[in-house]
Amino acid sequence: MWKFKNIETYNNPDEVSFETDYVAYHGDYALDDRGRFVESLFDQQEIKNKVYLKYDEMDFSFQDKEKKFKKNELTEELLEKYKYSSIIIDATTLSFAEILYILSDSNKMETIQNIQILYVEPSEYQFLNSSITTHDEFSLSDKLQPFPPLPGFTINTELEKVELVVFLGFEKQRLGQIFSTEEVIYENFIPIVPLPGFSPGWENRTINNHLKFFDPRYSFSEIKYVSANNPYQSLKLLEKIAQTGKSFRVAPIGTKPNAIGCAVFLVNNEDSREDANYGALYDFPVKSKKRSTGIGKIHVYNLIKEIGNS
Amino acid sequence: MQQRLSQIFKKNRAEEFPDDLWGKYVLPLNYAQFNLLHETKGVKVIGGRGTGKTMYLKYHAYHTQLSNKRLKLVKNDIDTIGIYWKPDTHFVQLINESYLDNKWDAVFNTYVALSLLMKFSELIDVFLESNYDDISMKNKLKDFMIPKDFTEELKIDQEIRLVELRTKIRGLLFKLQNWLHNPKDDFYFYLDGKATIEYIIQIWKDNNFFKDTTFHIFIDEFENLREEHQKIINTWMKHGESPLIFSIAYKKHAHITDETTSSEHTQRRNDHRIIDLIDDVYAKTDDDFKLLSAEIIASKIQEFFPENKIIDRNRISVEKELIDRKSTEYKNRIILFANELFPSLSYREIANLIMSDKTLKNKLIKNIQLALKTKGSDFPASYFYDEEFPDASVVNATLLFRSRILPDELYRLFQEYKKGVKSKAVSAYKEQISNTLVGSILYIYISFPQRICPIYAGFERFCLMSRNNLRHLLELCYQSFVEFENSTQAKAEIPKVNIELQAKAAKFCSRQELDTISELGSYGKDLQKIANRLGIVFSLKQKIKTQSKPENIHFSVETHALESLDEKVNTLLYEAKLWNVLQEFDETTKDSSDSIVTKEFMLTPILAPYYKISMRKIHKIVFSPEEIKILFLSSDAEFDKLYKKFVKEWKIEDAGDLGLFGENY
Repeated sequence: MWKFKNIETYNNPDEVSFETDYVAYHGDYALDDRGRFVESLFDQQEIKNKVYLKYDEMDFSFQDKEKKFKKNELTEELLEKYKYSSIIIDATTLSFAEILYILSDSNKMETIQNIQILYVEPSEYQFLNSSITTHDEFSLSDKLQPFPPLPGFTINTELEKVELVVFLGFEKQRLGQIFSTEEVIYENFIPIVPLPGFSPGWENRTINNHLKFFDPRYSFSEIKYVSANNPYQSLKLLEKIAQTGKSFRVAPIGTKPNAIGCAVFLVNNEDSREDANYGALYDFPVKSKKRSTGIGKIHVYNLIKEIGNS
Repeated sequence: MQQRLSQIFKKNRAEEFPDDLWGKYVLPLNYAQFNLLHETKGVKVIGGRGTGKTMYLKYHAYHTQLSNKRLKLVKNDIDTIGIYWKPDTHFVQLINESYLDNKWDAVFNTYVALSLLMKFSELIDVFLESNYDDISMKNKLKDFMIPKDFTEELKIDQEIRLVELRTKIRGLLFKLQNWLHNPKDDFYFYLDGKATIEYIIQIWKDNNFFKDTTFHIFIDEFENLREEHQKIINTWMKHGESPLIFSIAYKKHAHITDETTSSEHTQRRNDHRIIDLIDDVYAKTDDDFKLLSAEIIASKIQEFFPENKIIDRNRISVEKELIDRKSTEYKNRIILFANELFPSLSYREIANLIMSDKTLKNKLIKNIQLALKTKGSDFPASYFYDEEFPDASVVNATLLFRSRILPDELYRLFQEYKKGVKSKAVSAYKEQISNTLVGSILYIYISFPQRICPIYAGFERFCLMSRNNLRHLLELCYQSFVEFENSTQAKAEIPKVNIELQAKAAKFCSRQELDTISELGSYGKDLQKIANRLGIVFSLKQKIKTQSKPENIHFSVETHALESLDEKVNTLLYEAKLWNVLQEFDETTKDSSDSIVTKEFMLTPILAPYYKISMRKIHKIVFSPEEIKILFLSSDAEFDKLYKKFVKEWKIEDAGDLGLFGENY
C-alpha cells in the first residue's frame, strides 16, 4: 500500500528537482500554461523517459504515443518496460483515472517502491459566471459523461445501501448529475469542501454553489473540510469515514490533490471485503482549453510503498 | 405535533418511498385497463422524468401486493406476483464486450440471474410475513430445502433451505463484482438469466408452491442499460409467457433498441403493449390529472391529520374501490378540498385586485393614457375603466393599443357592455375580453419585478404548471407549506395557504427547476441555456402592448421535417424531450392556413412564474429554422441580435437590455 512520505511545496520553479533517470507519466501538455510548464520542467530536468498516457473511459483502454491497449494490460504493456524503482506522475495533466490506475498497478509490482506526484497550481482560474445567461458559450464537446464505471473500482449498490462521499469543486452540475441521473438513493451524503482553498474565499464559492444539496432530501448530514492542496489529509479523512464501517462511493470531482488522496485510499483498499466496499464515481469532464492561467505553487507529493496493513 | 406538514410533501421521488406502497399509491381512475398483473405478455411502460413510473411499477410488485397492511390475502391475490428490479445501471455498464471480450454475454446473464434470484428469495421473506391465508403452505415453504441440482448450478456445495438462499446469492453477487475488477480468467460459473429463474419457479411448482402463479418481472430504467443488454432482455420479453413474463420501463422518448439477439424485432402490435403513463393512465384528460393530483394531496394531508375524514387511505390502493371513486359527488368533494387548501383568484378577481391596488391601477391608467395619446384621442382615460367592470377595464388598456380599435368605438362598446346590451358586437367584445384577459393581467404585472402575479396560485393552476408531472406538483405543495409554516404559527388544523404565499412558492419552484435543468443528462447546461432563451423570448412576447396572440409558452419550427434541422439541434431537442424540459405535441392549432409544421414544443410550464408568462398552451410562436438554430446553438452575441430583431418586430419599447436580464426575472 502507498503511504505519504512527505510533501514538498515550491514557490520558485527553479527549486524543483527530480531524479533524472526516472520515467515520468503525463497527459496533454497543451491544455493550459501549467501543462506547458510541466513539459519544460521535464525537459529542463532532462528526464529520460517521458510517457504520454490517456485513459479512454468508453472502451476501458489506454492510449500512449504509439498504441492502444486494454486497461488490464497497463502493467505488461507499459509499466514493466521501465525497470526503475521510482516513477513520476504528473497530476497536473493526467486525470483521476490515469493516476488511479498507475497507482493501482504499481502497487502490485515489486519493482516500483517510490512515486513522486507532481502537481502545479494555477495562479488564476477562469471563473465562468454561474448565472444562467452569462455562462460560457455553447460547445457540445463540453458535455459531461454520465459517470462511466471505472473497472476495479465499481461497486454494485444492489448488494447493500451505500453512502456517497464527494470532494466538491466549483461546478454544481457535476454533483447535480449524480443525483439527477443516477437513480440510486444514497444512505448518507458526505460533501467535502476544500478549506483552505487554493485562494482565500474560494471555499465560499464551493459552498454557495452547492447549497441546495445540503439538505436532508439528499441524505445530507454534515460538511467535512479538507485542504485543497493536501492529498494526505484527503486520504486520512477517507480512512476516518471508512472507520464507520459503511461502504461508500467516492466522487473526486473537486481539486486534483483531493483526487490524488482519493486514489491512494481506493488503491490501498482495493481488496474489498463484503462488509467494506469502496467504489469511485468520476464523470470525465471534457475540459475546455484555457481553464486556468499562470503558474502557482508547485507540489511534489512523495509516496513510498509499505508492505502489509496499517 | 412533531413533524411539520411540509415534510409529508418533501419526498417526491419514488426512490425515497418504502417498497410497500399499499395505502400510499393512489390508483388512477381508469386503472382497471392498466393493471399490469392482468397482462399475459410483457409490456413497455413509458413516462417522462417525474411522471411516477417507478411508483406505478412498485405498486404491482410483491412488497405492495403482499403488504401486511392487507389483512387477508387469498389464492386469487397471488395469481400473478410482480417482481420489481432496477439494475444498478452504473455497475452494469462494466459488463460489455470491450472490457470482457466474448465473455460479456455469459457474465450479463449470470448477473441478471443472481440479481433476480435475490429478488425471488426476498419474495419468500415478504410472502412469509404476509397475511396469506394458507398457513400450511407457508410452514412448508419455511422448511423447504432447495434441491441439490439447483444449488450445484450455483456451486453451493451444501444443502440449504429456501429462506437461506438470499444470503448465499448476495455472497455470489459480491464475488461476481470482485471478479469484474480483474476478469482475466473465467468466472467460476455462469448462469442463464431466464432459464435459472424458470428453473426455480419449476422447483416451486413441483413442490406445490405457487402452483398457479405467474411471475411478472418489471425491469426499470431499461434505457440506461447498454444496447447489447437490451437485446438480451428483449429476447426474453418476446418469448415470455406464463409462468414467467418480462416487462420493461423507460423514459419516454429515450432511444432504446427493439432488436432481439436473433434478427427478429419486438413488434409493438403483436408482441408488446406500450403503456404511456401520462397519455394513457394518469392524464388522459386534464380532469383525470386534476383528480389524481387532488387525491394524492388529500391522502397526504390525511396521513398528517389522521383524525380527519378527508379521504379513506385504505381504499385508494384497492382496485375494487374504483367504482365508488368515480362518482361525481366524490370527485367534486376531493377537488373542492384541494381548492380550499390552495385557494385561487379567478382571472376576474385578479382584474379586480388590479383595480383596487393603487400602483397597479396607476399603471393601467397610464397605459390607457399612452394608447389614447398615440391615437391622438382626447378622451379621458376614465372612459375606459370602471371598478365595477374590472376584467373589461384591464382588457381595454390592451385593446386600445391595437391599430384597428378606435377609441370612440371601444368607448361605445364598453358602455353597451356595462348596460348589458345584447348584440353581436358586444358578444364579440366579450369574447375578446376572455381571450385577452390573462395576457393583459400579465402585461400589467410584468412591469413590476418584485410582484408575483396571483395567476400562479391555486390548486388548479398548480396542476397546469406541473402539467402531468407529479414531482412538480408535490414540489409546489411542499414549497407552499414551507412558506405557510414560515409565516404562520403552527396549528393543529388543516391549513389554507394564502394566495401570496402560494405565488411566492410557485416562483421559487420555477427558479429551482431552471437551476436543476443544468444537471439533467450530458447536455444539461445547454438545455438550461435553451430553456432560458425560450423563456426570455416568451417573456418578451408577453410585453407586446396589443397582446395579439397572447399567452405564449410553446413553439413550432417552420419546416417540413424536423430531421432536416441541424444535427446538433436535433440532439438537443431529443435531450430536452427526454428530460421533460420541452413537451412535444402533435400540431393542434394552425395560426395560419399555409402552416407546414407538424410538431409543437411546450416549455415545461413550471418555468412560467419565473418568466412571468402564461402556463397555458394558447398561442405559439413559429420560429424559422435559422431562428431555432440561434436559440439552440449560437453564442450569446448572436442570440442578442435575434432578441433585438424580435424587439423591433414586435414593437416593444420597454424591452430592457438583454445583458441585464438574468436575475431580473
